[in-house]
Amino acid sequence: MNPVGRVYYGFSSLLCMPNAMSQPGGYSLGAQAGEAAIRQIATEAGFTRFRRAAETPLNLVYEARP
Amino acid sequence: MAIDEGKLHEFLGRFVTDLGAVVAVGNVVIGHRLGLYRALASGPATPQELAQRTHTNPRYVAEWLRGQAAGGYVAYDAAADSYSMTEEQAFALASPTAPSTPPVRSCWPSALCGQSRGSPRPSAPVPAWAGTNRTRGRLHRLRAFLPPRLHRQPDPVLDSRAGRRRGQAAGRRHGRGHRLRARGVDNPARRNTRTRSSSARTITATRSNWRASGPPMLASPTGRSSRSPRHRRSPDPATTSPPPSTACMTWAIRSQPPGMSASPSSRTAPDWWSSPSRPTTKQAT
Repeated sequence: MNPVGRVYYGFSSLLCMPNAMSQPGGYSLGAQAGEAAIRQIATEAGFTRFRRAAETPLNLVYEARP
Repeated sequence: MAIDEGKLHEFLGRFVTDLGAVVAVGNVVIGHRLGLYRALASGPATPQELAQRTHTNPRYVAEWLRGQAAGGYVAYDAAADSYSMTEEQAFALASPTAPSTPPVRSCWPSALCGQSRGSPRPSAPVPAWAGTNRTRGRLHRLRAFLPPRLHRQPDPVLDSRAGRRRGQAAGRRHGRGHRLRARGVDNPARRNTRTRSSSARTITATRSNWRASGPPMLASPTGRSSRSPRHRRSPDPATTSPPPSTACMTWAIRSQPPGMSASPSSRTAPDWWSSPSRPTTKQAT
């Protein structure tokens, strides 16, 4: 866990979560959803191939293909 | 001019750490006011268990716990998927004499939530958050946003000829010491002739005037209508209160039995969102 993760979790608790919880849809991922959650979303949406394409200290890049 | 990449990253790291601390303050206040720290100090818990202990929304508590663990405010046991507090963390954040308690209780909630008083009782329903606003806060807070000229109203003792003489004889003309000396506080015979300080009387008078006719400066004789936002307040704090902080409101679901979620969307949410660990998260250690 790096300091960036702390920042994102803080904003997630105060901004992202209230926003997501106030909307219909049933998903409240937060700012730090992680690969498992994103993968499930993509799979449920119909993508059959999903992989982590790249990674930096700040970002994860996923590749989803039908 | 060449930029040393190492130094740049070091500096950016410092900035990000500061940014994380700023955001953490709001979550610390939430932890205090909802009793999350105290509940977690009583024993290790998963987010679900902690939410049940504190009658809060498990999804929020899960996110809060992750942030706390990321900041090193609570300990995370990845094997058991549970969070806990060390003795030191519990002492610093959850004990009644915690050094973090005074700032959290007095200053930070006002700054962040627009509320300065009214820690919710464990059994209090959500409306306990409403109705508390800055104007009912502590004296120093109220005084802080009183117009400066109201700090110093004519004082019958201080402004009498004898009071001025005593103050001048003491060599001071300003400040509390001057006012006390002017009243003869160092003379036991004169002590306790005035039980309330002039500032307390000023605040009481201002507060009652405020209830009757709105914020003091709005009705100023100079006719100034535009004031700094700091001084702009609702006209009647006794009946109108600012909308409570949405974040705090939605965190607490005290009016509902534990386990019930406040929003229908979260009831239909899949299971993984409340799972405390996300093994493939990029920051996972």
